[in-house]
Amino acid sequence: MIRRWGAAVRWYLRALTGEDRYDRHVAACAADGRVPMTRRAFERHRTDVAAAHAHERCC
Amino acid sequence: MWTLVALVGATCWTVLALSRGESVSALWILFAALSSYAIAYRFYSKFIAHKVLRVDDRRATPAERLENGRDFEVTDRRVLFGHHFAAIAGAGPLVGPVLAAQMGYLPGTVWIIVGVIAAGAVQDMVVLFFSMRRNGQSLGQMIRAEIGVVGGVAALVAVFAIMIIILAVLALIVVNALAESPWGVFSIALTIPIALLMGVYLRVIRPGRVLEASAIGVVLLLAAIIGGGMVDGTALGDALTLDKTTLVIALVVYGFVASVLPVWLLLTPRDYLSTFMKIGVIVLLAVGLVIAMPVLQNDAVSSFALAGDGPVFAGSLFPFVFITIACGALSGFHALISSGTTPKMVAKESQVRVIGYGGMLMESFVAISALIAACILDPALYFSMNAPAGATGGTVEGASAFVANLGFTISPAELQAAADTIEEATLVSRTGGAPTLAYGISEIFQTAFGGGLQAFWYHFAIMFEALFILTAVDAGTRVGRFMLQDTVGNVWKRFGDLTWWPASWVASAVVVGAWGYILYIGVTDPLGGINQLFPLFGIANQLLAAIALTLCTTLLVKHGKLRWVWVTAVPLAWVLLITMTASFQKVFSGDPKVGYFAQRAQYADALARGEVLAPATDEAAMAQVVTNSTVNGVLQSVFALLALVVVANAAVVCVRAVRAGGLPTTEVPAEPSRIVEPSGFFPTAQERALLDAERARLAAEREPSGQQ
Repeated sequence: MIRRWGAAVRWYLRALTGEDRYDRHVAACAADGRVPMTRRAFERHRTDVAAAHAHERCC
Repeated sequence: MWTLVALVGATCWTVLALSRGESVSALWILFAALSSYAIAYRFYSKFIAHKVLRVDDRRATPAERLENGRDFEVTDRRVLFGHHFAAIAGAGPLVGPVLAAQMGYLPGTVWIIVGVIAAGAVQDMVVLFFSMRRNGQSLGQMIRAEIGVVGGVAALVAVFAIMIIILAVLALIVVNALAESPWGVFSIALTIPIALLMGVYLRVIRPGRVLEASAIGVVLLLAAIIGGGMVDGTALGDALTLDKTTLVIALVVYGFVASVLPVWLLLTPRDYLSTFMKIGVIVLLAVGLVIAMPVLQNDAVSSFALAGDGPVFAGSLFPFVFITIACGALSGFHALISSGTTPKMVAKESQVRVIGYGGMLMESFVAISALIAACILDPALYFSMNAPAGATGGTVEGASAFVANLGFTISPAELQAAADTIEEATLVSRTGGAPTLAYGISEIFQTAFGGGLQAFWYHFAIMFEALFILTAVDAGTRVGRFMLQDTVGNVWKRFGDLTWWPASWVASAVVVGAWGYILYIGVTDPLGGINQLFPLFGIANQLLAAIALTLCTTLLVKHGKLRWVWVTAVPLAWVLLITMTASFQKVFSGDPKVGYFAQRAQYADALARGEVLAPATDEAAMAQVVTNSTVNGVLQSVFALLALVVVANAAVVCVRAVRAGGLPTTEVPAEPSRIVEPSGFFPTAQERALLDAERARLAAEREPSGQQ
């Protein structure tokens, strides 16, 4: 029970922060038979994309 | 089940309404709120989704149709709820209710709960829906396309100007909380190197390991708070005892640097920290309240509510409670997030309910918790903390005498003792709401968890408020910079290039300079910055809500849904009534405490006669009041006029639409959806069956290719 909750919390936090993005990228590449980017290159690309977008935070 | 919830709600409301002059537990407010939210979500939001908006899950959302892995992306509803909530909720719902506690606990409670159910959550959800049906267009783009160019331009200017005011007032709250507080300055200053360290960790050391980096960040943050307690009385502590003007300069420099630095270095890691703190503190506060079961100390409705002469902010209950509490009840700024960012990530149309309506209910709950934290304080202490320095003289003796005039009793020694428990030099005239909230929270946590940690909890609360605000300030400055570059880019293309540094530096400097100037005005105002500027902030935010609700109403009319138009038209009428009444009073009132121009005339006349009016102490301060009230009055008039332009333009469109029985809109034509997703947080039995079938279908599709 505790383990299930722990796993759910971990899943949620990883999804919320985007930490799971790379895993999804690797999975998608595997499905399509492509070679995934390295984690470093992938994360760099992701932050560069984010930099071009305004990031709104309310009061 | 729902009958039970309704009974609990009705009981709580009855107790709150009928209790007078006896001790009332804060839990009545908490449960009145929770049961009202539950009923509103279950019935009203469902009605809006299915009857008014007619959400259609067979229709593909922009996230599905235009998926590009960047801004358009099908996102799990629970994750998107987290993103959306982190984007809408900041320091606003924490501060407004604290200031509104001047009127007693009841007006704030009623407005926060009724306001969110009937107006705030409706606005967020309907804007989200309409933007989603238009490929995630921003509020400005939708107004331009659906109402007209005049309205569109007015809305664009209004959004920019309102954002500047909001940033300035938020920054003012931080300055007021950190002034003369070496502990606060020390721990907040350390958030910058902590964020930088996290940024480097995520970019270079362990790319993408956000949870690790955040865990390190949170531990360092707590260490920074504990460490702050040791700097007091040391040479470092003396160096960090900063006055307000120095803090303004520091914040302006910080805002500029944050706006031009790469986002991965400062903005993104700070945002992770802020989000984790946000969730942590809200959960902790809810648990703390239930364990501590504090008793409300102030009156249900105070004498200031009717007389309008309260020291925290001037003006009577109507309209100023509704202005002071914007975030948590109805916040126009949310319309900027509900259009643009979130709608591009919604997986299913029916999810606008949980994300738009549900997200706002959650923010409202934060506001209710903040209201409780302020209302459990001894009113004498509350007013000593929140009356401007001009009234209390900034001393415990002065504050004690001042609140005695208001009819409350607290001795100078008791005031000093209160400051000593949280290891601050003084609590007198610590305006802005943040210190009051932090003190209230520290009392709740102390009662709930014990351990003699009240000073730690106070600074913990100050830290998270400042963290939210600084995150909002640096993100807001960047958004302002983007807006400015985008607008100027229409005339001078090169300026619109976000990567061209001269443009980004100039645009950042303009945005920072604008809010920095207003912040400076607030900080140096002899009459007290918060009581002068906070109404402007609230009115600005509510005017933005008026603009957003105008768009929603116009769209319902254009879509031929005249029968349901009251859903957004009634909140629109209400918000127009409160903002226009408040704007009118702030501009035309003959009472110098309320009207900016009356205040200007009073001080200008006295200055001409060579007199000095208290609380100003010399001619320079008198001149300052004249300048400040002029700037505030002009800004106030401009905001109201801009909103009226949008409303007038929309009225013309609505009349045309009613005559024609509806008008074409820019809604994107329907395309069938191919994905299966539940609509609420928890899938229904039917949805679960559909999901299982979908999973089986996908597995079957994969099976043959696996065998090849």
